Amino acid sequence: MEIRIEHLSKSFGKKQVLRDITFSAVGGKCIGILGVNGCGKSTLLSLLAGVQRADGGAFYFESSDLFQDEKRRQHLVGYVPQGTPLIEELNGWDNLLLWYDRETLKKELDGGVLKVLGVDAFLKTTVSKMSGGMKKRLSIGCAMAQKPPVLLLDEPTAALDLSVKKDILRYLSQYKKSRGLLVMTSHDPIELEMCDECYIMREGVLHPFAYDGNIHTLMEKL
Amino acid sequence: MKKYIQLQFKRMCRIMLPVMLVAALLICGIYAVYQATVAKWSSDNSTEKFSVALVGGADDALLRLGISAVQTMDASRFTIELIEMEEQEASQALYTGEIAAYIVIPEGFMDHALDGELIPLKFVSETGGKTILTVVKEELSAAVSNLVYASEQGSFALYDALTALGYSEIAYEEMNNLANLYAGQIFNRDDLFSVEYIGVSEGLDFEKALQCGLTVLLLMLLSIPFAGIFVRDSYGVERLLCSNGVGPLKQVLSELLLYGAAMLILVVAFTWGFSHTVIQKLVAAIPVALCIASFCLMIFGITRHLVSAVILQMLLGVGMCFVTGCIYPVSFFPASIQSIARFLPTGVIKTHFSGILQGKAVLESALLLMAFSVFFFTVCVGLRKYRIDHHKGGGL
Repeated sequence: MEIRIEHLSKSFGKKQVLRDITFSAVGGKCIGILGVNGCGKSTLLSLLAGVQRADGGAFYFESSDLFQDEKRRQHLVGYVPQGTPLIEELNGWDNLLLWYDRETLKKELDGGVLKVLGVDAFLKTTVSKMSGGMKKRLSIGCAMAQKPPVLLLDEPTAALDLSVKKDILRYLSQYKKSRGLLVMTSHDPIELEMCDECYIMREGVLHPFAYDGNIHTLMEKL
Repeated sequence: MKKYIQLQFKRMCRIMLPVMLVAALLICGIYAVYQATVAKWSSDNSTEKFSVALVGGADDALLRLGISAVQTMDASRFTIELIEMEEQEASQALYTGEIAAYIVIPEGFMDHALDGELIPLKFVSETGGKTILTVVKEELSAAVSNLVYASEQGSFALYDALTALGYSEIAYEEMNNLANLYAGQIFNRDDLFSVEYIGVSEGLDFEKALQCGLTVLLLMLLSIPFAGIFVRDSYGVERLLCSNGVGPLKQVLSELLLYGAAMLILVVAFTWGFSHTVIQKLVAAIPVALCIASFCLMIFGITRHLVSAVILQMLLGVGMCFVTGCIYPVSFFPASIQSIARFLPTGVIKTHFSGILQGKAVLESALLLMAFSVFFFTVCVGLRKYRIDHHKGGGL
């Protein structure tokens, strides 16, 4: 399984946010996109997730362009946006029902991905009363409804404490081991440790970057 | 989209209790305002007497008899109270508002009248400007003077004519009969004409116009509790929906269908007595429900915080209701505001309700409301797309 992003570009009015973005990745890998705030990392994921339309370029899964096949993209690409894609006054079960049908949901809670994420433990809790870690696990659970082979994560562990970060990253490692492909934006050195390839985005252009665990080198490059 | 509607419905059910509580409070408050206003209006129009002072002429026995007759027999005794005063005293009372006007009866008024000579009465009122009221007052005082003069002239002319023709034995009696006939006509003037108040708004009387206006205000206020569902500061769910093929258009359409249905129930409930058949009620209520729902969704889209949404909706709703005459008759506002008010959503809704109450065709107002709905809906979709595209994420 392989994805290829070719010559992707996006402008907001006169401001060009992404310029000629090109990279590729294979299943079982994690791609990290780094960059300062407002450099276009989230916009890149939005385009790949189909939230916004690209001005030009292609997003290939194997040989088919997912920008031209919306239904297939919805099936193949999961997306966890920044923040929480959850309805605060409803409980976990109600939120999951937006993405799963009732039968599949029960099955996933019994021994599927939702069981692995530990969502079954706080199913009846209202989202507004959940901790940050619970919300993030539930958000990933929502994105996994179609069991997508590609998962896009926008700063997946931002604002979480270390133990919760560890839980989330453990789950993402399991996903990677099952030949899933992760593309995540991040500022966090702990998240970057699980990335197989990293890119730094500067002024809308993607530059390959080899992260060696040295935070000072990373800061200089940003 | 179906799942999204189901989920929104579930959220709506959860806020039904607060909505019903707010509705109950609003209904009680607005009904109290309605009753108080109608009661005040009724008392202003039926029981309050205007005090008018009479200056001079107190020594004349005939004039005292006339005044006594007016105060005991004339229909004006229910609305006008005549008080005898000195001119200085009357002037002071007029200034302090104790009396509405005073009439100065010139010295020897009756003697001159008996001699067939007219000396006009002087009517002094509190309003200096030239308005319809002052014109009517001037006309009235001239008419009263002329009436007294002409009737006296007629009576004496009859007496003179009969005497000249040799009927002096019946001349005095016939003169009195004619004078009585004049007096009878004046005292029974209610039978000669009737005054009809055509109302303060679009041909409706005061009570019905107020009922229409307050119904619009109530509906605008009742739409506020729904802000709890539709105002959001994070558009994470909407982004994920977008990623799964439910774009801004479908999202806003789902919300409008649900919100519109809730508003439809409220509109039908509060305008139940306006029309006869259920079909009529529904056809009349659908454009109103859609217009209010789409307008409120637009407000919820503009703001990102619940408090600012509620404040904005309250200010706009009450402000528009005020300007369009739902709270205070629109005829009191300048012409420019009246022209604008006619094309504001609340103004069109009020016209729509007025038309339904009078059994008129409301196609024009219904089409205008639908046009408003389409406009607000389009703005909502644009705003949703903007919010999704410019999502700033946010913490947990």
